Amino acid sequence: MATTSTTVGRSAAFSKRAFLTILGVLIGAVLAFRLGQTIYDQVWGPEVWIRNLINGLALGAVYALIALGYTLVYGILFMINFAHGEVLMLGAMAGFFVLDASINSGFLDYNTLLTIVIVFIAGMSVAVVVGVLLERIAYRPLRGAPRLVPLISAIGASIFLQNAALQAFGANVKIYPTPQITGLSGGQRFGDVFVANTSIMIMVLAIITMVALVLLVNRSRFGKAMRAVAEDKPTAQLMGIDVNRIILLTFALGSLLAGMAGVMLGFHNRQVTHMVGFMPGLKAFTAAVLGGIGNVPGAMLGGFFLGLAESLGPTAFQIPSAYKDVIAFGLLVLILIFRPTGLMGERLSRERA
Amino acid sequence: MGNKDGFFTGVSRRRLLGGGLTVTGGVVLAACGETKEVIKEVPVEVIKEVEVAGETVVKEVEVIKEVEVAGETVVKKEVIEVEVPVEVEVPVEVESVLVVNDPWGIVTVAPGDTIKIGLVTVLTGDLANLGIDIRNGAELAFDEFPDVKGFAVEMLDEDGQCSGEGGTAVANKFAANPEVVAVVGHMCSGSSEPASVIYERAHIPMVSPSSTAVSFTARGLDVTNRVCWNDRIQGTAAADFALNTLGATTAAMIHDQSSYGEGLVQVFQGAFEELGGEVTAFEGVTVGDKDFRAVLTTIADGAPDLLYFGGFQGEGALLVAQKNEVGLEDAIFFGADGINSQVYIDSAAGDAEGSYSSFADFGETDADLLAGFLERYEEKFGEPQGPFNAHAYDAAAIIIAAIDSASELAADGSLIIRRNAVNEAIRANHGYQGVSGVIDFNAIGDGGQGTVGFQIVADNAWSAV
Repeated sequence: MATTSTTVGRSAAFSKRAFLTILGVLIGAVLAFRLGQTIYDQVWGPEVWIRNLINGLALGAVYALIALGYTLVYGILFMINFAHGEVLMLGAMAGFFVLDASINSGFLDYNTLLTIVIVFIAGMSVAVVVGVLLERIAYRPLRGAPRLVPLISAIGASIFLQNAALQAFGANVKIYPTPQITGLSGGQRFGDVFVANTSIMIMVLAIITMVALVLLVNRSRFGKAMRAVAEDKPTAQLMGIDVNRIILLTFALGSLLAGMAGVMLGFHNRQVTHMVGFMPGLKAFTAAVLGGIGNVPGAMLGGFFLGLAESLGPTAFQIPSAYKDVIAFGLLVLILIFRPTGLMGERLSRERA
Repeated sequence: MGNKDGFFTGVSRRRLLGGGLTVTGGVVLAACGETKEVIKEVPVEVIKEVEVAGETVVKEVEVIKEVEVAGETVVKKEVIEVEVPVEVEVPVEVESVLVVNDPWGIVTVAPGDTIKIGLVTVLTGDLANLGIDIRNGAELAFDEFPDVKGFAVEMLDEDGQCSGEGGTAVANKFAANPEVVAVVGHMCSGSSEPASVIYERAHIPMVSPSSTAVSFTARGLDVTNRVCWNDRIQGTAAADFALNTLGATTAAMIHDQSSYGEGLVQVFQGAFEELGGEVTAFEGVTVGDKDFRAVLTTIADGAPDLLYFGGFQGEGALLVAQKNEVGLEDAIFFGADGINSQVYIDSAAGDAEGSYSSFADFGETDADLLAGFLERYEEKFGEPQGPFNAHAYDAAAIIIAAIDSASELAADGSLIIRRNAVNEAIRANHGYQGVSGVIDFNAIGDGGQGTVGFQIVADNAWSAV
């Protein structure tokens, strides 16, 4: 009996793998054929590709920043902070109010660069406060509860924050008047291709931040403590690490990045509403899973990968741009089927083993 | 598992056996023609009717009979002949009893109770400024016409959102309330359309102030009315304006995937191509998204002279700003009434300069009437936020007037409102001088004629072309 069931199991596993391989090859072939057709027929001029590449990089940089927040929290607590998008939204809101005040008081005209810096600091600090409060109120009391419980709490917190923001700030769209800010308005022209200054700001700022984050996680004492807590909480505690403090700081760090992403999106897209964190949050979560959730470089890679797929996908496969969300979430499904641990997930598990 | 299975099969087998025996016994007994007693006879269908000598009618009727045969009940169908006297209509004295006949049924409002009218707009989300603007317009009408024959009119204010789900949720709520007489709304076509199916079943007439989608009234429903125009009017006029006034020969179509946006853009495309223009792209954008650079990039590849957009202010402002980043700086941005708001201009933070939109021009209406309305509106609610507040006022006023003409006071002091008569009274408005213009209902419920006006953004304000 035992032997038969093992054989059956093995052959089932084999046929599943064979099925997945065939499916993968088929999907790959269809996509490659379509891409080849697009390139061969020269459907688009080169500037379309370059423009969408730049759009994708800017979008990806923002996704990467947000995804880092998901991945840091997941790495340490094995929970998904679904209210992360709302932290971003509140950061963007805070940035708007400070910017609005500085325009009204004339401070913007007095010192533009300082204003931008203050707006970023305001957005990030509000996001940090919100993130820390979330951890204290919605998640810490549930530590040790089954994993589904904090997840539900996170969804509840997300809806709570959305509606609280709606009631507090109203439904009207808040506008970041980017065209009035010298330095951020307009853009640079490289031949046929125009790159908005906000896109450049996003890419530069995001890359600096990510490098700093990697250094923080890998080189600093705090990073070491964070990795220790992620590895084994009780042992870390025995080694004299204040686990609760590290978790709180991790939330603060993730929220800081979300606040920064929120202000960036504010400047870039100009419109902020109480719903502005929802879709980027969902996409960044996808990016985090794509890269291998819990893995810091994976989140960055996943973010850029998703941003590029979203903006280049419709161009490459000649489908309407309205399908970009289909591409993004279709990608998520494909990754979950073929590489459930994400693009960089395996390396992480090998390192940990 | 096994235990439960056994238990079940045991019982059912026993029951089956018993039931089978009883039925067989009953049939055998019935066949033998033993004692029969008819318990119940329900007529199903009249098969034939023959009138005899003007006094009686012989009818062949199919009936379901329940017959008791030896203590068992047997149900069977059979055809019987019935002789009945011819029905003579007895004239009813109108003074003593009020006879109210209406194919859609009636609403009885008890003395002291209120007449309930729904008002469905968008109160939350990105379009709340337009929704609240419409609600304000309607509220003004409710304030100025507070009662019908001494019965207070009550406004049931609901948020239908701009979605099908939101719309059907509110419609189901109203349909379940027998006191709701009519509905002002919904605001968005995408919410009105699915809701109208429910109102049709519940016989609740609706008058939308702002659902302009072609498909809203094109489905042959009785309850769908609107005081705004049908987008066929707007789209055709816009195509003509784009080609002949703005001189655009190529245009790209962008819509927000709503019934309103997509329908309008389709009308525009048809008219534009008929006039000899060329359409270079037809793309949809997702409401709530903030980054349309990718879709604009592909559109830029076709180098259109003009971007025609069917959708609302939020997406419009993003598109008009982001088109400049992808090589469409010289393309004219042209929208419709959905972007004709100050929020659109403010949202684009300067980039809206030089963009056009069509809007419902008030040219044909009484200037004093409109000025008075706007004055009263501003006094109560401040600056108008969107293009449809006047339509909402008209929709509410028309409904209240229709209820007045379709209702009677009963002897006991209650008010009886006839539902179908309300709908017919709404559609009977021809040449109605509304605040929003002359309203003239046709057979499918399109009331708004509207002169299509065009405006351009200059110095951060909509101004005449």
